[in-house]
Amino acid sequence: MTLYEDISKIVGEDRVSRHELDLLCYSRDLAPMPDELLRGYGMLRPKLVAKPNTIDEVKEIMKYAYLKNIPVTLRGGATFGLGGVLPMDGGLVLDLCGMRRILEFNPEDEYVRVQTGCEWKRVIDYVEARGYTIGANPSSGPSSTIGGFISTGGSGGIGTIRHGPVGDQIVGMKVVLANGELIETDPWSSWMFVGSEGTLGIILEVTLKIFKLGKRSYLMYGFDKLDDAIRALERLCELRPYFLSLIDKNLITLLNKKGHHLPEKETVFVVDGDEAKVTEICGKGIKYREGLAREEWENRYKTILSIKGLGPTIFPPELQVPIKRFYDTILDLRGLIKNLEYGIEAMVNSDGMVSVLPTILTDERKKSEYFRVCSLTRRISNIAYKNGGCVYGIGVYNTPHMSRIHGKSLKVMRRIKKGLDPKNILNPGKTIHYKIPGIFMNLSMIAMEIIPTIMVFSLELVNYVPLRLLRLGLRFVGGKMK
Amino acid sequence: MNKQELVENIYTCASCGYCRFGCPVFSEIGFERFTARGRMLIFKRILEGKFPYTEDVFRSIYMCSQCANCEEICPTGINFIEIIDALKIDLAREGKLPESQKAMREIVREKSNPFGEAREERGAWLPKDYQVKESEALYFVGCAASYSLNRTSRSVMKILEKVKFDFTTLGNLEYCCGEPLFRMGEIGLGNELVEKNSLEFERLGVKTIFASCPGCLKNLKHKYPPEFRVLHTVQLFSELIKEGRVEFGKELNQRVIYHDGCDIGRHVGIYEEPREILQSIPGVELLEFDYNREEAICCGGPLVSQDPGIAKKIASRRVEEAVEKGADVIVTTCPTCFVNFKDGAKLVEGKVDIQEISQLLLKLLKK
Repeated sequence: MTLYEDISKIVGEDRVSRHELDLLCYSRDLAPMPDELLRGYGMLRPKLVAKPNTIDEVKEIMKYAYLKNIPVTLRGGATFGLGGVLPMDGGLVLDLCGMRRILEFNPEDEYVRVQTGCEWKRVIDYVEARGYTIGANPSSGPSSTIGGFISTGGSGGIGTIRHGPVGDQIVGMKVVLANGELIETDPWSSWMFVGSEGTLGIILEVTLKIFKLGKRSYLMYGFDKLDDAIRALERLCELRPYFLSLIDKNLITLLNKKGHHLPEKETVFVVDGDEAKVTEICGKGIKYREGLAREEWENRYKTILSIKGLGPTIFPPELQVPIKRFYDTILDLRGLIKNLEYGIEAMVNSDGMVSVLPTILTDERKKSEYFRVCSLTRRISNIAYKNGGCVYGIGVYNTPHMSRIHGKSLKVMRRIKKGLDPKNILNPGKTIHYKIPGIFMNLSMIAMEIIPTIMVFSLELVNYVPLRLLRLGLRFVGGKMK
Repeated sequence: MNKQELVENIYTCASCGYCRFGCPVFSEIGFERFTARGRMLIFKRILEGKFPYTEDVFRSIYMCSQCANCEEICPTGINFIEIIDALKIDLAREGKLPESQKAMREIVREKSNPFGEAREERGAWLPKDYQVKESEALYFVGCAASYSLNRTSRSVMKILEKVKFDFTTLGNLEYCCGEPLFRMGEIGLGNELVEKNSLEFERLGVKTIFASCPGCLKNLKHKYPPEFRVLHTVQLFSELIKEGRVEFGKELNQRVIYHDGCDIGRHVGIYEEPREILQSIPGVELLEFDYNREEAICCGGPLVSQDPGIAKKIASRRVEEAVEKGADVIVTTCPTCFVNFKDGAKLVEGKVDIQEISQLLLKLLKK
């Protein structure tokens, strides 16, 4: 019996695909990584994509995969962009988006129980229509899934400043482990799976806290000077509004090219904050009319991506820094990318941390330019570390930063992984089970950065040297290239 | 859309996957090759010469109901429908239509309707003594309401006679509006029908055309000469109700849910008039789907010619939601939605009636 036949038996033939076009689509996420680089990173072609619809089906699939040592890569909306959903060891891709039902809405005990393939927008629309709202949620709500956001940490996003990271809102979960065993978690044990990027178990059902939705205020202020805006932002933090962000002047310029109508200033955006206090704190800024702010809120999922066509490629790294060092971070970033077209958005999270999202315009068709922009990852990460922060998420591309992000927990994480997934079949090649040692990835990025600078007609070299370095790295850990 | 625009659009795709949110095909088939972002990725590979342009790709292109939900939600503003249209035109030009489409093209070409009905029977639903006449207002009946769904056309006729609204139809002289041909990429053949119909419009001195079929409406608006004012019958009815020319004789003590069809909604932008009509009916409690108006989810009807099983399943989801909401009736303005909902409802346990708006209206008018 082939893998196709066996899995078809479990989920039904119409929910498996080995179609060439699907295998292509399921080998990609939101980041337009050049094929050569993905091969360099050691990604293999998946054998099959399956779309289970029930927990029992997932259990059966995992029992089978565990027995036969088949690598299983989990996939939600594929919007994280760090390669976390790429089938690094080939094998089976589990697309969990078919499981997107809202199972229970309980206003008395204030929770909602959902299948984790459900998109955030669907859950938010549902509870908001019934007078409630949700805590932390991602700015890519129409595609990002409940399971995806939880698995990638859920600490930067909308609602986090008031309600904390997504882990704080989990009442319980149902998780299928690598061997097909189903476990249920409480708030405390749920935390172990938050940010595990699908390497410890498959989160299939989540009970999330909900909160009463009152009348919200939408306030936007424009500042001439960046430091005034940031000083206001620091003080606004204490009010713990539902949403607090900074849109820098450069981003406003780009947004206005795409149909927004915002004054070109450093802009502070507050949703559901005490209006009198906000007005007092933002004394140095100009208040925009509420309708404008409301419109921006309603378009919140679209804002950043609306400038994409100007690239037409965008390079969007994400870092988290303490708010005290936010100003320095922006100055450092502006210094690094001043010759490029870019805009910066930043969202304030809980615990005084800020998610900084520089969006750099580029064109993937101009290879050497694009490689160079991609290589900025290294320097941008260094800016984060210099300012007491770190890059957000690991996936494949941020594995060189593992030890800096996790520090002493790394050893514990390895033990947990070994205990829960001894055969390393769940999301292999990610986080702690990287395929290429960080040093080789860094070297390859340095090569991508330097070669286009010193040689004009270096397309061949740009392709060759970084890949050679990655290949060396792959050999180093005994991975196979295909 | 020219080649350059096509390429820019394809590279503009952010692969963010928002397009999957309201995509009827994704919700049923669920594999990425049938989503807008999947197609854009595939097209990119084809442009870069890394992937062949094969029949599998054609199938992905045609397995789309062109409901434009993806365009509505796309943050980067890609014109997915125009891209699909442009590619279909190329495929049609090169003779690479899928077999189901080829068969439909031949039927439309020969019979001037997609059902294979006789052309001389087109006006058979009209009274025996009916005479086509010169008039400023024309009711464009369309293929569905001329043949299988002529209860709609008869209802429109009776309502308008009741309020003494003067108009004509083309009777047997009407041709298919061309929508099925434009949809498959056969624009040359589609334009032939546009010309034939336009000639008749001019001969009768028509200034305003109203259609009960949203597919015809979309086509009349976007593909016909702009000198004709084009309306949907709901716009006409809503105007007549506002003028106080329509009197209801009965109450409809039911919970009614209105389904925004994609052609009348996202493609033409008519959202409020049908709701105004329903709200003016005594006794009606109007419900809404969770996703309505610009965000409404397609019924899957246009996919019937590709895969009737999938189309039916897609419709059943919408019917299911109506049942959950406690609706007694789903009201639609579109023959495609009407038929597909009827099929889809068979897969759903709860009971809900499906009604086309003109037929419902006629039943409630004062005798």
